[in-house]
Amino acid sequence: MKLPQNKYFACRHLSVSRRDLADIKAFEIAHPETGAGLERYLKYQALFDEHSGVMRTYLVRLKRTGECVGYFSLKAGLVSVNEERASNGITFDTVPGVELANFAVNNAFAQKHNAKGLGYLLFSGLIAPFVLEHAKTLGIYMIYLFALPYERLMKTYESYGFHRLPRKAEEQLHQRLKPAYDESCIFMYQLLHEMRHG
Amino acid sequence: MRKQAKPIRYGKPCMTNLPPELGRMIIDAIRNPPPFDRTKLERECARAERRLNQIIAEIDRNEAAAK
Repeated sequence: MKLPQNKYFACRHLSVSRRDLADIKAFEIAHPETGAGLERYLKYQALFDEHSGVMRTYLVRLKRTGECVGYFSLKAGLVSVNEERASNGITFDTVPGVELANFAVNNAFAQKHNAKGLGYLLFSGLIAPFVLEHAKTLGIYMIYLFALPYERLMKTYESYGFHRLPRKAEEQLHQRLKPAYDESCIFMYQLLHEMRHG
Repeated sequence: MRKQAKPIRYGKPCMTNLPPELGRMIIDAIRNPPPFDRTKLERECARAERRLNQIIAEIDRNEAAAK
């Protein structure tokens, strides 16, 4: 499977190379008041998860200079729905998806070059095509995430094409699906066929 | 005499004790998302691309000047 890349950016799995470690150390979040967890994850947890296989984290670099522009993490997931009592117990359907578990632009790069809107470009130019590529070989119905409950952040994800569920469906899904570390976060999703027709 | 293990009781709703109509509500909501206007996404991507092109051109100019 080819790693994601386009005209501007190339990605590679997080590693313990000197360069990756230096870039991880220098990585900065634009809004620490809301995104501190993303910086902490990259600096203190991402390598462990990469080694154990529970997450795949990619550093995104500008091809021209090799500077670190951002990072994102993907993992396989599913949503279970339609529980019904049958004669032999409980039956349910599953909706398969990919979780965009972490996604952040390196503010050190953005500030240095006065570059705005990089998140849009990384999502639509790298992450979305990469997930669509994987959907050729295994069932993926949606890409989803658990967004921190900040208006500005959720509006940004909405402009990437993510949706919230109606309130009651959202409450019920949170009760059964949300991991402990995403306790206050909001489930948002985008169907792959929406990404294809975009 | 060996004590029998107590049955596990789940206090919170979980996969086994939610009524089916809630599961159906979630799947219907997931399968029928609201329409998405890509205009802003495309505009922001175009802006970011223009800026990246300027950054790369500037780097090329600086490198050529340094030679």
